[in-house]
Amino acid sequence: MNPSLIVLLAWLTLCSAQVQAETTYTLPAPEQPASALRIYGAADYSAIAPLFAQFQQRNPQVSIDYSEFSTRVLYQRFLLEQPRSPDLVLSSAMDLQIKLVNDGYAQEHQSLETEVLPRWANWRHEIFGFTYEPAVIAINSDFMQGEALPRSRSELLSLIRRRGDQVNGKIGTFDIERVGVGYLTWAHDRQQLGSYGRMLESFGAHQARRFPSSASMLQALVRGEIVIAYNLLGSYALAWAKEYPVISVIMPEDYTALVMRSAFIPKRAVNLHNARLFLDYLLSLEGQQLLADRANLFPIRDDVTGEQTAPSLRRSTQSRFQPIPLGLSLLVHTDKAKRRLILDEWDAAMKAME
Amino acid sequence: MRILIVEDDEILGEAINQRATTQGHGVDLVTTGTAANEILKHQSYDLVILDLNLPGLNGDRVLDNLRKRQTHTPVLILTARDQIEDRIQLLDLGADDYLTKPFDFGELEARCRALLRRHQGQSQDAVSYGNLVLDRRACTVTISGELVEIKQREFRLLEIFLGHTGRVLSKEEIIDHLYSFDESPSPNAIETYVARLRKKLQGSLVEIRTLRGLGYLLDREGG
Amino acid sequence: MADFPSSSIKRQLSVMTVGLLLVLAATSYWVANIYGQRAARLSYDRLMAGAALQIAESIRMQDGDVVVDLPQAAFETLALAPDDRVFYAIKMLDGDLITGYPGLPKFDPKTSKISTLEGRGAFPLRFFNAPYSSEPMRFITLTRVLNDVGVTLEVQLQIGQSLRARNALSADISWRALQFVAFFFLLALVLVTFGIWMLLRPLSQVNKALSERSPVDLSALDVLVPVEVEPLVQTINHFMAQLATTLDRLKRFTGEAAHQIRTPLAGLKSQAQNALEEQDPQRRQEQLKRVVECSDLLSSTVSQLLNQAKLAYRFQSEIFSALRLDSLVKEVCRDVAVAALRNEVEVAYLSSAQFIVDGDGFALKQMLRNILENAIKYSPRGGLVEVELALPGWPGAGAGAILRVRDSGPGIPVEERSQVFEQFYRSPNNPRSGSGLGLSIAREVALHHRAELVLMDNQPQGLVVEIRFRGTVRDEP
Repeated sequence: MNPSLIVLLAWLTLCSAQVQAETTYTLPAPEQPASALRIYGAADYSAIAPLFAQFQQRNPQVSIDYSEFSTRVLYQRFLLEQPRSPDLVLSSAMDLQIKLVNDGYAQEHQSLETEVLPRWANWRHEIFGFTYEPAVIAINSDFMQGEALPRSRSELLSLIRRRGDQVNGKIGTFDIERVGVGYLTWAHDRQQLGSYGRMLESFGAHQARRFPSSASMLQALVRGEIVIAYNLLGSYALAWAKEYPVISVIMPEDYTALVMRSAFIPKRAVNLHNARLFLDYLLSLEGQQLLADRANLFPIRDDVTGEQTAPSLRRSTQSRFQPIPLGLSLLVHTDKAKRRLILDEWDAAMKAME
Repeated sequence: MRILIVEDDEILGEAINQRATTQGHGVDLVTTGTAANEILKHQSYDLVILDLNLPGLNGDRVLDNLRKRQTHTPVLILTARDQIEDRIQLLDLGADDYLTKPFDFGELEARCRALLRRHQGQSQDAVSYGNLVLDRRACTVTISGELVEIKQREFRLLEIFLGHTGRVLSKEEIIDHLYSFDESPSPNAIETYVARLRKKLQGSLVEIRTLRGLGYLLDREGG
Repeated sequence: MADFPSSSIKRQLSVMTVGLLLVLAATSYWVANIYGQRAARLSYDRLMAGAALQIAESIRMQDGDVVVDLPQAAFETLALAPDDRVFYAIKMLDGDLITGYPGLPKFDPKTSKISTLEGRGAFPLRFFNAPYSSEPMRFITLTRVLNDVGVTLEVQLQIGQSLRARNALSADISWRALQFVAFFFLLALVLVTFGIWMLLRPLSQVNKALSERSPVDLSALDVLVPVEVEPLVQTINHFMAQLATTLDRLKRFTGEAAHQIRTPLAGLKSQAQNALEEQDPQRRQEQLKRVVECSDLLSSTVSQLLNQAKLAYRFQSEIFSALRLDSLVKEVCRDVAVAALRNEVEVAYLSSAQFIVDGDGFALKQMLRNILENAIKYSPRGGLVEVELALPGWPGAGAGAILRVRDSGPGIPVEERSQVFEQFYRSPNNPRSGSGLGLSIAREVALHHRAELVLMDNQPQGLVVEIRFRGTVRDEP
């Protein structure tokens, strides 16, 4: 077993237990005099820790405080603490990040590293995507009993319809009310998917279960508590699938949404220089390579080598990748009324069958 | 009389020299301004005939030097220039008369005579013209030695005429000479005096001619 | 022009046209800027209007509640201004926020700039500018009326967008306009420079034609020039024609003068040589008398020639002054009277009037002396030359003043009168004629004083020379 994977798994288990809790990691500067760098992040510490280590090696006079939150909590905390502000904010909830930027909490940063980013991963030179994740479907292959895996959402729906009794209470997806990225991918489906109504109805009819994280979903899948996990993050799913062959990962061919982890420097950042240094390191080839090699995340840069990269991902499947662009249109997902509407729809669908 | 001729043109200089010598004058001829200047320092003359355009020292400089030495020798200038400004300048420098080239020998002689007479007149009391003699000191006028009875004003009038022989004198000029500023005689008064003087001069070779509208001229009979 | 002392036409034209072009360029750039701003405003206003309408369509009533399902497409539309921030709010008319951002600025006619009101179907739109979130923003508001069973509600939608894309577009349009204007400015500059060169070419052609010809070539210039330059060429040609005439006259004069001087010189010399060899004192005396006569004639010719030259010079340079004409005439009369008496000719002045005339004293004296000497010369022994100055108002005086010189000489036949004023004219009937310059000089002086010289018969015999001064006379006794 890959040692880094063990760390990852261990951490995932840990954080699934305390999803909303705040954890702060302090990494003192190896050298004095030191200056600080305060980061709020929704990325797992273990995934980003190698990056911190490497960064500190290069900048030994920087001490790092890394506070970890779930995405919505991070968003709320950030607003609540104003005018106090961290020096850098990392999160996978693109819509919430965009809203913070749109509302004027970010400041501009332009460097050689930001120039390399694709257009859809850079908005206003204020927020930058640094990794992306395909939203995938995972299926317990025991459940398939030799049948061909569904390749798209419509095939998934027909599978559910065909074997309705066997999947009752065994479909898992994110708790869209609490998990930012879950809400985002679900809202994206609602927008993109022609058969969204049928899927909602189908999930409701079979009492879909809500999970706080990809890891918990995968755990349930391995244990057989669920047989289908919908819209979980690809990096986790692929890592688990490597370990547990029972897990089959499907990237739907109709479209596979790509969500990004993004970073911005708050306007009121105190240690601006350090924030810029770290952001550039995060986007640099070295940092990106590190993310791919050590954290099993998909780096945003195409020039990173290895298995865990966009080109190799694209080669492995015929799926149509659909990046959700880091831009203004994400604002629609933060709308209060819209959220209420989607959550009501979900609740209504779930209740209809009770 | 002793005459100095300063003339760079040898032909003209020689002609004047001959003419003057035949008339019994003692004549020296020099051809440069420098020589004239030198000779005038040591020798005194009764008359100097001076050309203006000279090699070496120019004529006007020679004249200027002469007058600076307080020498009152009459000087007759020969000039080819005839512009009024030049003449006035020359008279201011102390020339007594001038003659424009080319000139008539008769004219030159007349001018020379007049100059010599004027010069003598200053030192002598008697002025003679034709058979007429006017004695300033005695206030007498004689015609061919005979005394003419003459009044004060008529005597002064004749004196004026004798000072301007060969020239037409206007009534205004005569008045200017005859009267002071306070007096303002009418031109008719002059006519009266001239008529009286004319009567007194009957029998002499001198007559006063009237030129209508122009004035009077003292003239010797027969020109 | 007073602003450009001794400057060139080329520079004036260049300065003026470049100035004009600069003004034009600046104006068009300014207009293009305004246009660019307007175009950018209109474009993005339309996008905002589109997005607003899409959102308005998505507001509905459900079970008495207002439901808003914001369409993604509306935000995609707004995202066409890719880097601009967006704020929106959907409110009940009473101000209760349904969704979106609280506290967006309201339209205030006092502080909101560039507002436009567009009635567009069911939803009247209003645009205005106002600052929000520390940035200037463009806002759109529209009101939607919702109808449900028994309920009618009005809902207000407001969207604000920052101005980055607008500014970028208008800057882009301005930049393009600037490039365009600069291009045309340079093009116009080149054309104008070429045009000026073309315009001024005729002048340099005239210049070239003049500089290339030989100095004695005084023929008319034959250069094809525009109408505006034509007068210049005509003037040059006229001037050259005059110069040619003058040169011609000078040539003839030189010839005549040479003749007039050389002939008496030749006579002088031959008579003198004869006298040298003559043994008979009687004949030698006569020959020497001739020598003196020849000298006199030569002397007077040379004097007259010099006088003429001096007069020509004075006519160029001397300024007229106010002169007492009567005094001047009397002075000349007195000068010539003594010599006249020697020839038994009496000179009389018959007027008592006083006159002021504007003129050149030297020239007028020369004129009078020539006329008087002429009259004296031709008068018989015992003759009388009468000089008279007639006043204006006196019979026959006309408007000006008339100076008359009457003699009792032979007179001049009518047919000769037009010729006697020509240089070197000598009457075939008159063996005693002089240099032939005296009357010619007199006429030149008269012409110079705008006076007229007229010859008439005297009664019973003789000549009357009348000099009619006009205009220059002032009667100031």
